[in-house]
Amino acid sequence: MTPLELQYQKIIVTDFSCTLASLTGLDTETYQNVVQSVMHAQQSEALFTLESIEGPPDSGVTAGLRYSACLIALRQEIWSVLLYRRPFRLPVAANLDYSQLGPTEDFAWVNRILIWCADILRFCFGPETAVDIASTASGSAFERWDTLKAFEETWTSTSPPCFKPLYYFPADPTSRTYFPAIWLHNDAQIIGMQHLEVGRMLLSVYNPRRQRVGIGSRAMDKAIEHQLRQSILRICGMALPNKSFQGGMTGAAIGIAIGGEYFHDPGEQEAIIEFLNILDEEHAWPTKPVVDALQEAWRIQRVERAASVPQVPQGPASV
Amino acid sequence: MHSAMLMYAICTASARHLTRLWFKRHSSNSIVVFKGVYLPELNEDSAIHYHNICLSLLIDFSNDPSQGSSEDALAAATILRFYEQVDSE
Repeated sequence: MTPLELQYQKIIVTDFSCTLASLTGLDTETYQNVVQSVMHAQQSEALFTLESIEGPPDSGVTAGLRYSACLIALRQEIWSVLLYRRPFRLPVAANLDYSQLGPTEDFAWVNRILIWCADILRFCFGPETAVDIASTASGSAFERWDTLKAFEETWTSTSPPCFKPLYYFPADPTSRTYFPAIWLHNDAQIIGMQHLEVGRMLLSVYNPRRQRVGIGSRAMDKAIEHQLRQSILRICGMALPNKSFQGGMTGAAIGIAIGGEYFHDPGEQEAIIEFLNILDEEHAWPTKPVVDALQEAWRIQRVERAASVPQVPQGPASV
Repeated sequence: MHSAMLMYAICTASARHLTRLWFKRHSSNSIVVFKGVYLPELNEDSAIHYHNICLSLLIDFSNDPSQGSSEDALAAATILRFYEQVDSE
């Protein structure tokens, strides 16, 4: 048997019991493990690079199918790592250089953003393969963060004109509109811009220069929380104008799962729950665990805030 | 049919997705209708049935890779991953 065949047999047969568990409603990531094993068995080097993401290496149906399946697998892995905060396991090349990227069409830009997002996830939650560890051991966290941040800053200042929204209207809490309306040109752009916001969120939280102790650290934490809230509101604002597009709605749900507990305003909290209800209604997507977890986190915050309010002493006032 | 493995993976995911969407809004005794087509055989267990067939085909492929293609297996695995995501509660 070839190594690939052995990998298949080992993973599928030993994970059969996990598959049975997955039928009862637990996400054991069984098939994510299968996909990861297939990729690692077939490639000794990195599979996902800024060059390979441009398109399949040759024409033909099977090459196209493999390329598409790999792109889907990349998005599914990003999804899983964000939800479960575990090491990124797909073979993404190390030390990616974003400074030499030339102009291209919007679909290719979205694929580049996906690689960048995967790179950030690997920075935040760790590499898995020996190739990754060997490549990054000599680089410092500061340099890597600066490289990743530079891509985001370049995008913010000079994004391709085709990504300019068709329509934009800011949120207006006074009229109970908590999400901005952001109309993008196509589904791929929604995926791309949502992953850009997720990357922004992760870079601010996992900034190695972030001040964690000392006077001023609390203010920095508050600023990060504000950034998270703004990114999540924008992510939802991109998805809602096209709620029949499942990828956009589930992408927004991931954003909510990352930072939903930092919403304190009751209006915004209600809007978030309403968003998740729409996702459940339109796409039968399982949102109950996230809804329950958010409600509980917000309830605990309300209790803590009530407990910290100084109690007014009862009885006759002292002079 | 080029790839039974791929077809059953698609059936697994779409059966689960269709039944979840339908039975959210209709009674559990009703017949699923999709774009005007009645699907009287489709119920909540259909996805499990297709999933078992697909799994046995994946295992057959791992025993004898000449009877399929690794591209189909990779695509089937990503489709089944989508099913796994939709099926979790």
